[in-house]
Amino acid sequence: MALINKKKYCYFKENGITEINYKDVKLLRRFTTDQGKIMPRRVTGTSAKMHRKVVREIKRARNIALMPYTNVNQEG
Amino acid sequence: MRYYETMYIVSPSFEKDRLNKIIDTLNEEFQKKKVKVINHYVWGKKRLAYPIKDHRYGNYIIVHFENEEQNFLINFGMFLKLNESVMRYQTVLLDKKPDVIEQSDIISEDEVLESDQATKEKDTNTEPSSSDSAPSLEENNQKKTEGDDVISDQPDQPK
Repeated sequence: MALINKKKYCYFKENGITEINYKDVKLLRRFTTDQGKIMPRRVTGTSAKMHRKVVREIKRARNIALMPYTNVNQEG
Repeated sequence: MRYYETMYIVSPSFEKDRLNKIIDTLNEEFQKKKVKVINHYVWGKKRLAYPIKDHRYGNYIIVHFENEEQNFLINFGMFLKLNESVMRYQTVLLDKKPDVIEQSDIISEDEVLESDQATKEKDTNTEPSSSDSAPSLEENNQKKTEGDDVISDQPDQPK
């Protein structure tokens, strides 16, 4: 992931990942904030192609309750 | 030929026999419509990211099937919607033919998930000391991967 003093670079290109799956919540959590919002491309440095896929898979994961829509009012 | 994956959630209180019954009823539906099922297995009991029908946990079941008829998906969606034991479902179009998953693989997959959770718990125990000093972006991201527990520990900030 991008550090502040390092040049941002696409996570998927660095690691040679070409496909994303909505079941892989651990990976998708890298691209959301603590609140559950999807982080913008300018922050994560993801390529446009992969960012579109990330967004699609996060929305799928949300629909099936693997990821939260929002974390604000969640208890325990 | 198109390949689809349907994931659906049933009540967490159901035990193996009950889950198998639900799987059987779905298989009957597939047989009636002459749809070929590739995989049909229980993915595991997981914590839901948000409560559905007052349930905090859910049993996830995955079906892979191949189908050409468009009407089937509509009817199948209707069938799941009317089925009272199914809390939520989602059908996704797959790019490739899914691999056939054998029963032995499924059990090992569960074990991996459990070990994952164990490591996560370990991480949460060791994390606070290091993250207190200088939370860089990377550490923040690590925190996120650890799951809901860490997030819920933080006090709710007034808006």
